[in-house]
Amino acid sequence: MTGYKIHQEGYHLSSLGCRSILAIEGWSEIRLSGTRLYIIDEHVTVRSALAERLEQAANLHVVGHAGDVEEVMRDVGELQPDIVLLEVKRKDGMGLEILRSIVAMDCSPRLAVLTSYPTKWEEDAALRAGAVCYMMKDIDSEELIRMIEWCAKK
Amino acid sequence: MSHERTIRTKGEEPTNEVATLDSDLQALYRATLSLVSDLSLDGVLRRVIHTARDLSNAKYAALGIPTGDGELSTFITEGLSKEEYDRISHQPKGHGLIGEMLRTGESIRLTNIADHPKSVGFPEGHPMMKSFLGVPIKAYGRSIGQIYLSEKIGEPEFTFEDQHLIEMLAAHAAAAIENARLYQKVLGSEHQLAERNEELGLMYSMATAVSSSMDLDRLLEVMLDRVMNIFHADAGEMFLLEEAEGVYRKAIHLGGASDAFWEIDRFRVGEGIIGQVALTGSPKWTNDLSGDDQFLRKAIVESGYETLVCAPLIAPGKVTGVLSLAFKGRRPVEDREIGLLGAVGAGVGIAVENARLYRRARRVAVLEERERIGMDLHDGIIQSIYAIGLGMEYTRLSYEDKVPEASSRMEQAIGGLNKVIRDIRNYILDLQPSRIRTDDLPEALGRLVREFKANTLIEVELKVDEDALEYIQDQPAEVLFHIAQEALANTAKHARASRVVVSLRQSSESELILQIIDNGHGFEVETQPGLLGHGLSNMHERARQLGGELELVSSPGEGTTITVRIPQDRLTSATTRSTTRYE
Repeated sequence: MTGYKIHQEGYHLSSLGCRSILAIEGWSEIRLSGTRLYIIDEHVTVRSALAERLEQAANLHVVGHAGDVEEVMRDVGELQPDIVLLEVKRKDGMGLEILRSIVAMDCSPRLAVLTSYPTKWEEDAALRAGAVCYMMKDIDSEELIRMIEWCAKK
Repeated sequence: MSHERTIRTKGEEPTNEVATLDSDLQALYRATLSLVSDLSLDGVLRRVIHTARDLSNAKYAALGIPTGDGELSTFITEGLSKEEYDRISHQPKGHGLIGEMLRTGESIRLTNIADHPKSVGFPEGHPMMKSFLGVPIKAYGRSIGQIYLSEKIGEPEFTFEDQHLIEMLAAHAAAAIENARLYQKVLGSEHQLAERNEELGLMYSMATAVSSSMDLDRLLEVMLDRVMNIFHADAGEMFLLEEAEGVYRKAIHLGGASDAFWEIDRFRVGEGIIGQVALTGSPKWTNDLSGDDQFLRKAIVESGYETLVCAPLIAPGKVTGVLSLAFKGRRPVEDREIGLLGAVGAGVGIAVENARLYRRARRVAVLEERERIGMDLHDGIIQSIYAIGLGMEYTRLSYEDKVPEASSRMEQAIGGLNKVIRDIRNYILDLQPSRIRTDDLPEALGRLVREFKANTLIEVELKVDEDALEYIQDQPAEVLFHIAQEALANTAKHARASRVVVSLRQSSESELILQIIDNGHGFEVETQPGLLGHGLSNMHERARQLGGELELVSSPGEGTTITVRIPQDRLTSATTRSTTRYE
């Protein structure tokens, strides 16, 4: 499945303005209170642990997390996070495709890549595709939280 | 019926006349034998004219070779003194009697040349001649020459017997001349064939060498040796392109001239005759070495080298090297030889390029395979540890106030897990063979800056100090490359620079310095640390791996300078670095 297809199949609400959805569903309050984050990682233990840990940060609110491509695309379209934290290394090799599809969305969120180990080509490809930063998974989440907040404002 | 028989019928006993004729025939027989013993055309012609004069007892003899269109191409004389010969204004042109003989193909015998209606007289300064005998030399009905005899000694005219004898001689002469001509032709084509054979042999051995898996150094040696043999060169060299710096470096020297022709072993494009050939992509040669090149070693001229022939080694789209042959003395250089060298240059050029591509492709293949294994094995492990670590971090933060002792123990455990993750990452990196070796570092940096320039249109200059490379091993070469890569990526993204300088050099404090300087808009290092993101921390980490440090200096409007300093003792190793340039 190509990124373009994912986009075409419409797992997001492109016809409505982003802010109007927030207004309708009354999420503007949450939005104002901090950075809304969505986590994409195919390892469920990793994304659950990440969600739990990042929720501890005062200004971050994890609105959801998933690994499955369809679920991810639907969620991001509906939940309208400020920033998506994405592990690009996947068994299905779809990491960069997911990244591109999200970037191609209307009112696309910021994208931060978090990966188990860095490779130069992947970093270049991710940044070219529209990611704002490329980070390694280190168990020092303070630095990660700072970077997410910085990326969200960018 | 033969004349001999006719004469014998005149009396019972052999007369004096018959004895003379017998001896004449014997002389003719001997002369004929001697004619066929000589295989050089000039030798045969001289023997013919000498024998004719001898047999006919003429004062003067000459031999002319017609051109085929009524003129004479060769005119050989005998009997004229040097003074007489020098006085003659010009050689006969083939008019008059000579022309008449050419036209009719018949012998002419006269008591007085001037009496013949076709006679046009003699050229100015020609000695006076009266009696004349002219006999054509015919082969296959075609006149291939003429024998002229004049002034029969002691007689007013040449006899019919003389004419008959010379006509017989002419028949043998025709065979001998044709023989000599054919022989020369065979010799000539044999020589040509031998040359062609040698050339074909060269092209064949080149083709097999190019398609063999022979390593490049050996291939260069084999090819240079073959070329030198064919051209009988006294010495030969090959220069190969160093892509990073765009210079042509000497790769091999064979033969005399004590290991080098030149004062330098690296030529920039356009520099000296080597650089000129590289620039134009066409062969060049000189017969006056001493006056030709500023880089030539004096000892070369002193030992007698005067001729140098250079040809480009051509690969698709570029001159990948230069081949040069040196000769003692002034040696003429033929177009054919230049053409042959050009063909050799193209073949060797492709071989050089093949060897480079092969080396590169092999590395990439190994690299990709190891990258895949690394990912399969270790990606999952890192993920699990990371998840556990995050859980512990969460727990530690949640119960920090309530159970402070447990909190600090957990912090230690998290530190341990982090170390395990880093170890695995390094292990994955170690699985990857070094993409860049020390020898390739200038080339790799050259590629990097060219790509950077092409992608960003930012002017970029690369300065690599060769001495600095002495201290770098392959592993640090790769790390240094990645730092430069990271720094340039940052410059492209953030700096809005118009010019970048990348330099690698040695400092007086025995440090190796890699510096990336841009003239972009800079930033406040203290207040905008995130601007370079993980790129900067990666660069710090890499510099630390080499036991060095990285310094970033920048302020708004002042551009950015990244300096990596690495003590040289961290870069050298007890093991001797391999000097093999090609695998």
